[in-house]
Amino acid sequence: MADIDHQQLIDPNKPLLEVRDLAVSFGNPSSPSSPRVQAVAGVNMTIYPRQTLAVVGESGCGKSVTAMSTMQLVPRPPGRFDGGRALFLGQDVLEFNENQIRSLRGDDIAMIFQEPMTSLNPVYTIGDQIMEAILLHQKVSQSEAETIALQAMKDVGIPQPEQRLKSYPHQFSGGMRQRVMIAMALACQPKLLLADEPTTALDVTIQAQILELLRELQNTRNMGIMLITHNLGVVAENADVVCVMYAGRVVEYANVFELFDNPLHPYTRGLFQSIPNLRESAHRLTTVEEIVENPAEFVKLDGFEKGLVPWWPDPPANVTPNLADPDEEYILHEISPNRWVGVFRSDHAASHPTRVPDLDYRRSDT
Amino acid sequence: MTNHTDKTANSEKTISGIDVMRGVGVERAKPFWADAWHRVVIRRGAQAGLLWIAIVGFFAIFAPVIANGLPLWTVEKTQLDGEGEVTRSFSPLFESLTSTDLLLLLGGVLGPLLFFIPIGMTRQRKLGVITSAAVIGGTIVVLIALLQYIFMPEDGSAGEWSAFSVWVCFGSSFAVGLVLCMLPTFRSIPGRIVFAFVIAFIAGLVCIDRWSAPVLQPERFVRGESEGTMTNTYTLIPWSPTQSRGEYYSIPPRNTTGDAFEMIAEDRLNDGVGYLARTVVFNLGGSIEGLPLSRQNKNNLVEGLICNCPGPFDALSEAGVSSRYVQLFKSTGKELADYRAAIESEDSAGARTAAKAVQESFSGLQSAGRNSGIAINDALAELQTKIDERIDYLRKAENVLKTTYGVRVFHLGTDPIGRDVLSQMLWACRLSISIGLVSTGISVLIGIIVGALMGYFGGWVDLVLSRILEIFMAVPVLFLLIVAASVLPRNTYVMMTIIGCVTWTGSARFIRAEFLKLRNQDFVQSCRAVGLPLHSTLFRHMLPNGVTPVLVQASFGVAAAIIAEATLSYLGLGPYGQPSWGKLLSLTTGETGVFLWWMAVFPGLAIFLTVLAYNVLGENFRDAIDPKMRKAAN
Repeated sequence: MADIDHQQLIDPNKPLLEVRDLAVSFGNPSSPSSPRVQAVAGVNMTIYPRQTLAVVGESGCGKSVTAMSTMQLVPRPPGRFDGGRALFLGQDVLEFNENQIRSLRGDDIAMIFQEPMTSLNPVYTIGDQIMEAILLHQKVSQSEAETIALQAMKDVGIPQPEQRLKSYPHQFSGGMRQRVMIAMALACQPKLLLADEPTTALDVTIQAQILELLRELQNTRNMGIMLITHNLGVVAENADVVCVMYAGRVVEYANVFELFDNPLHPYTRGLFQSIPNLRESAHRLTTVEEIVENPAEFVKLDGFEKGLVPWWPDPPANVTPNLADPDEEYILHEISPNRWVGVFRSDHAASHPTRVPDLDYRRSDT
Repeated sequence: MTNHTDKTANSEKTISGIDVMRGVGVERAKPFWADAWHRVVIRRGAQAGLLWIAIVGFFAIFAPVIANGLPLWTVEKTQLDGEGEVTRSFSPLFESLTSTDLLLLLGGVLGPLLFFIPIGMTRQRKLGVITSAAVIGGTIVVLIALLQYIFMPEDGSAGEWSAFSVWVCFGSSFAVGLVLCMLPTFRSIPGRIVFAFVIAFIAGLVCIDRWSAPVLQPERFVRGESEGTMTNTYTLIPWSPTQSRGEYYSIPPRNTTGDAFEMIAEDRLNDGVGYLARTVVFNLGGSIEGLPLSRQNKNNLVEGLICNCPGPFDALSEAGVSSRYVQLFKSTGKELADYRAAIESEDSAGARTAAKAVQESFSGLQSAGRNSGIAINDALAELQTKIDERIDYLRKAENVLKTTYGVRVFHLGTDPIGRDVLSQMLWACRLSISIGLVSTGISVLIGIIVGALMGYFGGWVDLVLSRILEIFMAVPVLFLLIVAASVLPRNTYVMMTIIGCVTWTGSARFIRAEFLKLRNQDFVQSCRAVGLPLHSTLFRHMLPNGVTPVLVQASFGVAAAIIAEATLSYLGLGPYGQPSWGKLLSLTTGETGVFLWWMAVFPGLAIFLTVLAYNVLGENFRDAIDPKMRKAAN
């Protein structure tokens, strides 16, 4: 990508990635008459350098689609960008042509996938695969690329990297493969790392190592991380800012401490309540449904009486306010400074303009 | 210490899994293809198949040197007008080699040398270098041959054209070098370019040198030797596939040239005697009183006269012929046999006596019949000529047999036109190998590209290409080839192209299915996320993971292409002017309708074994890469 200079120093106080009203839908190619699936319906989020934004939510809520969209990795068709922008350093990557986006991928934005066991090509050595990305994006010779690959392997803590470069993926265990994946992703010094459930397939000790590693690398390289996960423990430990998503929309957006101390949206509370607590013996766990089907949970939000009702696709009876516009039922409302909650678009919510979620917060700074 | 610990301690040195993860005792894994190859070649069937293909391949390269009617080395003495004689030594065989032959020989010698001599390159890389050199050289030779074919005047006035030979050859070489300089031979790009241009330069030089190879006639050297002006040293099988001589038709295996002359002489004599007997019988038949002979009986009588056996004569008396005539015929038969024996034993005095007796017997028969004197006299004269011819032949044979050329064996016999079968079979190896590999290569190439696009993109690309694929699946290859043989020039290139362009559907469908499966795999996603261009994702990352079923299919495809060529050649529609196993098979019944078993057995066996070898190889390859089978084997 010619427009973004590789050598340019990034202002740590300027956002790295701004996702604005992103909407992505998928058609069903085998039955074109069936309705399109709106996987992402107006998502907003912002990532700063050296910041970790955790995106949580259940399967199918659009976390991965949002991440993939910022690299145009969503297959089109059947996928389609219905609207919105994804600004990387101020440029809308959704508008990029094939060549521009290709030089962005792997170079400025890198991605780590969920499945380390299948994310490496079994036919080539680890070294070949890391070096391929380096040679693609950097003007270096073969031997220089090898040096960079070696350094990347050392950075992620793989013992005897010289030998291991010549090994094949099947000679590695899962944790080692995930390290290799991270080494591949980091070899080109990306500015933004999209980590799509990087630790899901790993056991707990390896998880901790990998996350520790990511944090360390983030601090040394000023890298922004979008951490997609189901694991709230991981979020509590690693995230600076948390974005809770449901059904393709952001339902809550706050810094990690505020969110964990005081979850405002019933869905967020539902998520927290369904975590088993080691200290109490319960016959059965509370489910998310039990929370979001309880009208009392909706009333708890400040300003309920003014018409601020947490947004939910099928809310309990009697809590839905009068919508300002029957076609648009959702708005992300800044309920207090630096706290955003997805609410129904009542007259009150609509008449109070709010900022898009934008939190320049890092836990390490405080 | 328990027993158990002792046991562990006594066995080989052990390391823990943690050690392994830390890289202790890590052995370098075999690269993917080396591993796959290893799994294939440990199988007996694959070894046998590869051995046979290697033999065929060996002869495909070395046939012009192993089987050639031209001497390997000739010392020629030329009488000058007054100044004594001049001696010239040269190799007619080498001079007659075409650029293809020469480049193949070069590659056939240097390739294995490079492969087996350790020079600090991995086998994989050596194989890449050899294959790339073969591709570059082959492309240049084919391109120049095509240019010559298209632009060379057919009336043979190649003189003007030869002036451009340097430009044509170097131009083609340069163009091919330019196009193919990125073949993965060496790691460094300049290395690749230098390598490609060096190979292209060598190929261009060879093509200039062999712009029009002289056509030398083997007969010239035989004549020279029998006249005493030449001394020839021949190669292993001293016959060219096109070399024929009237005397050598339909000779069974393991007979020599001397036998051939004997057989001809024998034939001539038999012809003469038979002609005489026939003339006698058929002329007498109508005229001798009380000789009511049917055509069948006349034929029997001729048989009896020729073989001097009593049966036919007894039948004669049963038919009511008077015993006087029967007796006369009997004595004629006996005297003919005596005469023949005398000629064959080269007893000239005996032959003269016997000839007189024969003549007298025929005179008796003549006087017994009427009006047939002229015919029988003519027949006697004919017999005399045939006998003279026989002597002539034997003398000639003696002459030829005196030369090195004469005492040779036709190991697998000759065809009805007098060409050595073994030599033709060896030269046909090249056609067999090339038609199989090139046509399958074309088909796999098209199949992979089309199949990859179909599988990777899906959607309307898949839809459109699937329909095109179905159209091609409906084309009957053999009939298309037969039609093409009557419309297009009948050469190997056209045949390869047609087979390749029609049979790609199988590999396209395999690749499509594999790519449909692969495109959703994480490592393909990861390729895209790294920003690899499409061609790299498709052909560098996805293809090696999905190509194995196509390789199995290609192995069967090679066999099918060989059969198609053999079928076409058998029908007489094969490549023109090139020996081929199918063409040999088609000569089995010859022009005369006589069944020549050796013409059926040897080429048939060659086709059978080659097709079997490819099929067995494909079968073993499939078993080797099938994970279920592998698990069962372990």
